[in-house]
Amino acid sequence: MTPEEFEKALWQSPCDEFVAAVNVLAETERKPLLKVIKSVRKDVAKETEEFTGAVRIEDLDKTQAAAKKWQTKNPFVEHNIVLGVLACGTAAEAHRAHIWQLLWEYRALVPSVLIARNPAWLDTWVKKRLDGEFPELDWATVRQLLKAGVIQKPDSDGYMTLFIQGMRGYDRREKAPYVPTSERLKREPEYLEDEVWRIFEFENHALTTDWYSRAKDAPENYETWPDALVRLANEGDIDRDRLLDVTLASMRQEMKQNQLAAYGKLHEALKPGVEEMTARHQAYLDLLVSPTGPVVSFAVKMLVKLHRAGGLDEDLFVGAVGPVFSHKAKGTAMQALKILDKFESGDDKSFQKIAEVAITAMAHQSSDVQEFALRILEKGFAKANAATRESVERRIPFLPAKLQRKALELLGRSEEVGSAPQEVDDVDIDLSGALESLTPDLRNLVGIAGDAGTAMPPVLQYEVWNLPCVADREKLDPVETRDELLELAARLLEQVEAPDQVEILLHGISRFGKDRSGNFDKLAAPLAQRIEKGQPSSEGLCSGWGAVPIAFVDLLMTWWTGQQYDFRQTPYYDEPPQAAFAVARIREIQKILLGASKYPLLSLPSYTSGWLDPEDFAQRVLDRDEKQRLREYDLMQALLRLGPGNRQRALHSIRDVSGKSGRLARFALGGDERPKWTDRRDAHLWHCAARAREPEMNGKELLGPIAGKVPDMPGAFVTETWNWSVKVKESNGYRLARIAFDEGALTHIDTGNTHKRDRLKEARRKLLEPAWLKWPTIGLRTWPEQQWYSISQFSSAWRIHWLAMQHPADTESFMSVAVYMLDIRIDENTSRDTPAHAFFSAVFDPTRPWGEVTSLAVCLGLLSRSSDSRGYAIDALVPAIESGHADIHRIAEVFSKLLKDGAYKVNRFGPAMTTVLEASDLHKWWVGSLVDAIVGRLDPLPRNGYFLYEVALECMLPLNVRPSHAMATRLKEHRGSSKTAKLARELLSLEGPTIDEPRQALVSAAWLGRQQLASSFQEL
Amino acid sequence: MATALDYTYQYPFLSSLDQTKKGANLSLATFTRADESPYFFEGLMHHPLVLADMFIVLSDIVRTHFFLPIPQNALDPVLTSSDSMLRMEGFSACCGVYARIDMDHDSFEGDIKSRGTTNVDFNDPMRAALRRIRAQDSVQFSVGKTEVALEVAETRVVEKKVKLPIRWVKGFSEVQAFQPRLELRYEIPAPQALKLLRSMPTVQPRSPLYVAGRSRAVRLTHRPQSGSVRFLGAHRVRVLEPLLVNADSLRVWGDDDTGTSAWEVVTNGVRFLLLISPEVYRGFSGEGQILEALAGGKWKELLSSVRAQVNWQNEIEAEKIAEAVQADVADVEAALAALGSRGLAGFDVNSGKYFHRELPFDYEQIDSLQPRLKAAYKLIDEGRVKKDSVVGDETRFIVGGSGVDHFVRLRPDGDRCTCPWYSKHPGERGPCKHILAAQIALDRQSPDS
Repeated sequence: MTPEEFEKALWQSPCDEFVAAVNVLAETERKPLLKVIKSVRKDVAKETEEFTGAVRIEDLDKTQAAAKKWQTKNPFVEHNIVLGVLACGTAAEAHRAHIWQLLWEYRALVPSVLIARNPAWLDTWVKKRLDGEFPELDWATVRQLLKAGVIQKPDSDGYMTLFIQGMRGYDRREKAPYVPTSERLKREPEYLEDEVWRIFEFENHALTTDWYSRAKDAPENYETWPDALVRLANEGDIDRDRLLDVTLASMRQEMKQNQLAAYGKLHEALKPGVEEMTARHQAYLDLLVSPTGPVVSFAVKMLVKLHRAGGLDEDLFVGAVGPVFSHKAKGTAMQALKILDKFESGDDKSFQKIAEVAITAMAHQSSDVQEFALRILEKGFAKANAATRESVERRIPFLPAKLQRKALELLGRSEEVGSAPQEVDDVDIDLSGALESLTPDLRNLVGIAGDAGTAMPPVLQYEVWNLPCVADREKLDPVETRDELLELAARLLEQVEAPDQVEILLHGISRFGKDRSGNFDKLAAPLAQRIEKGQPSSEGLCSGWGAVPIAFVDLLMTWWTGQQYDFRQTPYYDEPPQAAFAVARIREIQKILLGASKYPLLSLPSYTSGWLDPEDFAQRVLDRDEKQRLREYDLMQALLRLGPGNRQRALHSIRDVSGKSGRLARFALGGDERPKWTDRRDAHLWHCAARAREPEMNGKELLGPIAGKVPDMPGAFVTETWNWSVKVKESNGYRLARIAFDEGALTHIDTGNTHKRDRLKEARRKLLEPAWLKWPTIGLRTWPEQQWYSISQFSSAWRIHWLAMQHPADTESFMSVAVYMLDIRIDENTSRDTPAHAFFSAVFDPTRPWGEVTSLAVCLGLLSRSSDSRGYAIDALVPAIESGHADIHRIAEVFSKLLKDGAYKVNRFGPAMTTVLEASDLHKWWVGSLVDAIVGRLDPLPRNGYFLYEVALECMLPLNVRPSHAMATRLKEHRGSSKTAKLARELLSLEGPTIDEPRQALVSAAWLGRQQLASSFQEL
Repeated sequence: MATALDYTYQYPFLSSLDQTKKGANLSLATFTRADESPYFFEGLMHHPLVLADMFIVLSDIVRTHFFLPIPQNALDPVLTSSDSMLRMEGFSACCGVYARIDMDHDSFEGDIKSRGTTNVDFNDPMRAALRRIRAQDSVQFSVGKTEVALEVAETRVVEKKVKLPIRWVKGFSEVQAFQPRLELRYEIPAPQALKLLRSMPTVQPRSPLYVAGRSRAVRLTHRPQSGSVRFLGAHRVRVLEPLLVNADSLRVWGDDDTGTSAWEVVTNGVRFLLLISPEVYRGFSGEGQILEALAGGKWKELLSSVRAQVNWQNEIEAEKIAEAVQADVADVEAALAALGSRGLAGFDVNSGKYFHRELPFDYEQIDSLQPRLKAAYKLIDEGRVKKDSVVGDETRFIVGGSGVDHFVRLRPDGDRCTCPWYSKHPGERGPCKHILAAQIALDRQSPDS
């Protein structure tokens, strides 16, 4: 073949004809043709250059059409080049050939080319193709090369992977009828000697789940690898004993759990008989020490079978079973104990051995396992020697309260049961003395006005504006120098750790913004470069979705460059109504930067908790340059942050301040100032001032002539009682529960059943945007219908923390957002992109009382699957029990609504509450009383009520109290031998006073908690 | 740059736990960098179940990568035999967890035969056998064998070839810089500690967790409280769960500045220390705590004389060495920290003192294992470090970065830089390369240098 003929064939010949022509060439004829291949390859690259490189999006259609046209004209050349390289190229060229570029039908030609040529490098070439993460060759190619004798059998895992795939025999691309794997292996028995056994030597997909078996188009006689191996073993084609042994031996390897579990499943699928199992008795026992749960579970299962068949050596089992209890699986541990339970302890020595195992099991995580272990011990405990008794005693502290009692009875120390409270906390401070330090008003405010510690304090009820000051008064200090401000900005670009730092930054920019002296450019240039290069960090000020990060980019770049900066990139996700006001504030500061003067903000909180001290506010109003334009968003924010206390002094200090700011400030601080009709254009400012004057403003009287200008929407005035209910939807067998607030609590934006952003934006523009911006308290209560829209918005925990500082006096509105977010994520794990737990930051401020919505949010957090949401809810509840914020009966009412008819999962109640009750005896009493109150309310009682009763036992036993009469009446409704019924009877058997008659130490602890809360409200 | 070294363990025999008529016999094979198989100890274990569990947990940690589910090299722990103690150390494959077993002399009946540091073979059959040990068993324990030590040349050697990650070796030196800063915050009785560990979430929370509360009612929180200990990656702590069942207490140590925490299971004269890095995805190797020591020059003068004073002490008394070498205690401590960074000393949080041990790896190239230090020297060599000005006690430098100049200020109250690394970890993970370069440049300009 001349080079010209070869070139023509490369361009035009169908691949099979090209291969046929090349295959007959001698090796000496092939070498010169490589030059031709390289030349054609260059030509092809040149011709296809325009549509193989980077393509502008607007040119996509054009280039795709050009590519299609070229390929229609030259359907074979690219494939012929690859095949030609294999036929004529050097080893290096062949290694570089991209086999995967060949269409499926042309790949079938590869073996023909290689067999005809049989190059010296073929073994290495095949090995390299198989060693990658994904083999480049298919089984058919390798098989043909092997059969032709041109390669040695590869020893790589890649070869085995191909073998497993190839012999599985099902490929949608193949048109030949399906042949089951066992049938294929019978036809090629040479693979039964070696390859079949190598399957057990490395991690592969042969024995794990075969998804083809579930495919709709899978053949009826489809056979998985385990099916095939079982059939081959049962029909004598492979050694059944060897297969049984190899499955057990394989489970000793360090492999993934599912792989090891698959060996066990294959072993079980072989259905070993009694003789076969007896022969492998020791092998099963050896597997009990495996660190892999499924392997241990398998071994125990086989030993149970062996035991049933009478083939288990009891001594060997007792000696080997201990490690089983280091695994968490309750079922496996119970199975092992069931075997042990059947053994006759006989003499003392054999009892001690059984007891040693049972004592090991007493440290298991499951209380059911621990209880079973105690039952086994009970059977022959009279034979227990001193060492065994000592070991049991050492285990007692590891047991839950209900089992500790049983263990003590076992040791004959029943006199220690029920005699006295085991661990009531000592209240070792002088409560009366502590109370004396409080004013009568303050004691009255927190519900401890009477004689010290005579009865549990009543429900904590106070209005924020009646407090003498806020509780958490950690001062927020502004930065002192411009360089410090730049350092703060640099740090926040990478990570925002606390939202108060963002407020300090905003205040600093507004205050120092114009100062570009000294090192400013040296310090600012690297920071500006970070933003220009892209998003600096995933947790920084300018990261995440929505308009907030973009507003920060514009603000910072305007500050650093001195020029107006407009990022202009439309955020894919819009900001939620709750954050629109924050964006407006940032934009306002950007305008201050571009203006002529410095503007110290009025809204910088006094404390890290977000509150603005009225005296600080008044001082800023006094210091304000009246000639400067009043920045409205800043003023509104300042008003919404105004805290309680010092209002009269603050009011007095600004009595002579003229202008709008003076009038608004006096009105907000409770002065005689009132809005007039001429103030109607500033109705939004007066509205914020009115909310600052009376955070729970219930009516429009305060706003007088301009009240009509306030939109009649939820959040404008506080009239709602936050009624809510649980709605359960059933669909395809699934029950989905969701919280629904009654009409009037929230505004829902109906964006239609579409994800189209234009419709959403239109709804926002026409209906609500002005409300979000001018009436931030309305924005906080506005939700779009589409969940996808809202979930994506709160993508950084710090932004949620920051929003919690927007209107500290209205925690309930803020927590309504939390309810929404926690509810839709109740069955989801923690997510960094939707950190619902961050909403709890508002609840950690002791100044803010807990209302219905806050209590609901905490309950949802406790029932959440997310460890973060659950953890933060626990963190909120523990101090709230001490301070009295958490009202047992309100929370019991919330839980009874959530748990009714299994709407929300009761199984999550136990672990959360177990953590809470560990905090102190007061917490035990509180949690026990909560369960007592829930049970009284739930009708019907849940069948899985044991989740509640276990918690109740853990609380009541150590306190030596019993359920209230109301709860006891309900518990008597349980009949039968279910776990719930047994626990109900255990609760009914408790002695001592009822839980609603708390001991003095608990009353004192509750009073002390209130006293400490009151102390935190005392002015220094 | 290579990320791992080819390393071959050569043991004269395989470690094993054999059953004999008198009881079990646990024999650990040893191997040092000098191709020796030292003979360190022979005696009877007082608490075989406790020790067996600790050996298994240590071995599990060494084989675990705590954030990538990938198979790991089976790296072997390192054992140090000193005056009156045996210590066994290891590092997780991700280099974020350091574990050490401290075995007091009281936990054995027998004698320490000699002193030194060695790798010890931990193989699968021995690990399986360890799981079968029971509390009542009688177990003989030996580290090395006397006859093997004499006849190593004739003995058939068991070889294990592994890729020894450089990060792993570096981690050993970095942790010594963290331990002196740890404060003991809690000592929790074992039953409460077990509850605490079992209450840790199995699905990793995104935010840090804290151990807080009173000693009898210690619990996990998501918010810092006064005296609480912060940590990330509860699954790294939960590895201690099997040890608590037979333990006396759990000590929790914390360091607020670095975010490192240590968890120590205490039982019957044996302690298991677990030191975890500030974040799951950050190993100790990149923390840079020893960089400033390496960049500065004071310790260098004292290093050789201090090194001559250490002789396998279990507790190195800095004061005594200072007296012997006629130097300040602070300078001796700095030299000891530098020895720690070279694998020649470990730190014991309980005694608050260094102990002598020589890790069986090549630490001669330690400086070259520090990429940040190398990058700093490169900046200097390329002339990209320029002194800007001196204002008061602040010296300012302009240091070339990627497409921008960074402004470095060396200040008595802490150095500053405008690079993203500094902004993200201001001082917590050691100085950035720009500050290091400025420090080296300033050091070179000083009349002493």
